Amino acid sequence: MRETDPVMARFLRPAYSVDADGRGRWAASGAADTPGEDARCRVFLAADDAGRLQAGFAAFGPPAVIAAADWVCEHATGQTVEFLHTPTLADVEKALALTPTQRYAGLVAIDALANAVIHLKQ
Amino acid sequence: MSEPIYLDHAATTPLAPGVAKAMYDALTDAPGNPSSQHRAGRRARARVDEAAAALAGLIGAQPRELVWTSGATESSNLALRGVAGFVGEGARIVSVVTEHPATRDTLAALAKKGVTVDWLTVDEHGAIDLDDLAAALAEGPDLVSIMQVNNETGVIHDIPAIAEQCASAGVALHVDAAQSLGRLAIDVATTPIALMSLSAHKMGGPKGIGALYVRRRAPRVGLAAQIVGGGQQRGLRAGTLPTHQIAGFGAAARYAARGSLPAQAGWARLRERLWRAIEPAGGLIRNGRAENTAAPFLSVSVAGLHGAALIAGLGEGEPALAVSAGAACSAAKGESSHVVRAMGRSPREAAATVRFSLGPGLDDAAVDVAAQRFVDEVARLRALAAAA
Repeated sequence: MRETDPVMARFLRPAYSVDADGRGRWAASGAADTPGEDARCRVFLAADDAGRLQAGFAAFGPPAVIAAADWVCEHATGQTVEFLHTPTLADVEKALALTPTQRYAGLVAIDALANAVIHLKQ
Repeated sequence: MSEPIYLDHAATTPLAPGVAKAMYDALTDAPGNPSSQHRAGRRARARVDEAAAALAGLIGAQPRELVWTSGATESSNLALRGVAGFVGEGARIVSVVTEHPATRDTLAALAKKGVTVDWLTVDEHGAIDLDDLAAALAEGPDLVSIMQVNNETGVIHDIPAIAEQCASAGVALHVDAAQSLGRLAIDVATTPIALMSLSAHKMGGPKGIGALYVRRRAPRVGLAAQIVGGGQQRGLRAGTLPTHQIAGFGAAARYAARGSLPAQAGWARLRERLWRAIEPAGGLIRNGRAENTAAPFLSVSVAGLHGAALIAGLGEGEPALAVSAGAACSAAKGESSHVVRAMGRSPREAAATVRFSLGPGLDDAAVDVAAQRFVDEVARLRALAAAA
């Protein structure tokens, strides 16, 4: 494994993945896709009594999409719904050292998180 | 970190026994220019002649019918551009949609220069229809160019039957044998092939050396040289001969005759073991019929996951599997395998296609480990995608 490659490290061992059986326990989810890259991502959210978020994801796509989804879920987990700082593309790019051709992966993960937050607030 | 399990012998093979020594000996004992007339040159020439005899013997040719090149890609370029250049205006060539880019891209370039190219399609098993070939031959082409073994799927074209059909029509046949040399027996003495592209590094030889077989008697085909400037190789391909590369190719040919060809039955058995072990993953399409696929090849399209994720997961996880996607693997960008799409698979199925190609160093235990790793990775990626 290329241990120094943050994309590959998260792709091989994502910490926030949600399988099909586990999706029922989440309060809300939001999805985004990029047909041009044949990739899609869904972020799941739940909040505890104090409003602190837990996030998880499912994704179909190249390793960068899975890694970006995992990273945005880690970023969101532990924050509160009210004061959630939605990551920017620059945040994801920096954290995962995305190449220009992988930027779409950051965008699809951010959009999925944003859509999940909207649904959670509803 | 464990060593990767190497299942990519169609991409390149490790050096066969005796090859490295033959190359070293040529470098140290025969450093002269094989074209020189003095003793040092003759000493180098002897190494070239030994290698030519070995390679020619493997395919039933005469040594003087071989033109050394940098590899099969150059050989195919010489064959296709050479025939088109010799014929001149109005040249017409027939080929197959599933050919290697060395042929496809060369013919596409020739088409832009006015050469008429007729493309034969394949069925879901990757086979051409000989009636389609007959129809194409009726148009009076100057050359038919077909690979013997497909580089992505291992599907075998029936070259003896195709060659007879071409000979009956009076049309020269070029065979791309890059993947078949050392894996399938072929005899140009009894099969009317005019030109045949050969590669060393797919059969245990070094990279950077290949050959084009050019038949000297009927059916003989005219070739225009593509590299000029020295007159070597009867003017067909100029440039100082790389003695050590050629010696390595010759040693690989000698090994193939006594080792590689007899080993094919063993690879076929191991390949079926691999297929049986991965089949329980489900959602797999085997590309090509087992009985019509070269022994080391197993091409599988996998449903329910992204091709780039599959190749990265197999290649970067533990234990790593050195396999090939066969082609770029983005369905959305239309970069998926043209070979597998031509066999009727969807772009996404074609994108998630893995080519296993077996060779020396593999045994039952390694194949079992690789199969389990494949099954586990497919399950992991499908689980990641299932709720998306």
